[in-house]
Amino acid sequence: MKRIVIADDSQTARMFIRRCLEIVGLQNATIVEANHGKEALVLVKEAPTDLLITDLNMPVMDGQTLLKWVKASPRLAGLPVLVITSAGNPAKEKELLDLGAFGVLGKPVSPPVLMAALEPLLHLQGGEND
Amino acid sequence: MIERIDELMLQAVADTLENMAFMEVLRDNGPVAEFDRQFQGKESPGESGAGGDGDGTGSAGNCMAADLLIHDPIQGELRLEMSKPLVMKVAAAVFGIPEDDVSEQTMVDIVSEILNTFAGRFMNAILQEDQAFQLGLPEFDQFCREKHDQPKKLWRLRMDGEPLRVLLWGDFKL
Repeated sequence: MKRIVIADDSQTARMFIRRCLEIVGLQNATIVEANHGKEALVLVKEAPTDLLITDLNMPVMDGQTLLKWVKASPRLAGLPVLVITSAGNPAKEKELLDLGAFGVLGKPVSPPVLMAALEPLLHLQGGEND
Repeated sequence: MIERIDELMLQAVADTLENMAFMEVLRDNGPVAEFDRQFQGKESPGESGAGGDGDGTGSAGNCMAADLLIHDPIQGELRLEMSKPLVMKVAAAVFGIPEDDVSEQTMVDIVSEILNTFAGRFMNAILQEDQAFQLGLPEFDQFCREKHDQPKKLWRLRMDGEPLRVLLWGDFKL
């Protein structure tokens, strides 16, 4: 996995996710951060991206809108989108998965939980350190 | 009626802070006045500095706070107040840096994110599984002002010996 974009308006949350990614073995990936969905959309368009991690509640463009934009784009539709949010529940999780999210996790995420969520993706992409 | 609300809130706050900073959260069972006095940085009942004008004494000097509106399905508000030393400890733990290197902006962000996170966990705990909810964005309160309305519930907690408070307003059936 070469490039990961993290979208969250909280520096703390982005740092926390970054550290979890390092712990699960993705320390060699290029991790790029965005403050909101609109910024994240620019980042995923400007360079090939392997994973987009997004919060839901963000200013300017929220995570659900970002997910819809990504899945509606022919070029980006195949980009896995993992939602990590405090605003999720089973009903919201189903809604996001129906919109095409790769997975939905609750905050604060832990390395084992993140690892379990990313495992199918890492397996498909042939390992964590390519 | 929301059953076990005290337990659910304590669990939400504890899960958040224990996962983020590996620090245990406990209820404060001591005298209320003494708790509030420590929390607001007052050394004695007669000490001034409660105006919150950032003069370095009283509540603004020792307190950091953030508010978050709950929009659906219940209209309400949650507030988190933490002592500054506690915020520094948590920030240092989360970011893996010495406490002296923790910036003011980082501290502001940490308080907001902690509130945002346990607010979501709390709402998930009190609502039915199929009930969606909507939260506002956390807003940092620079002056740690005392609110005019009495909260519906107030939880006094401690972490690593330092105080934090959680306040709840709204249409919660308690």
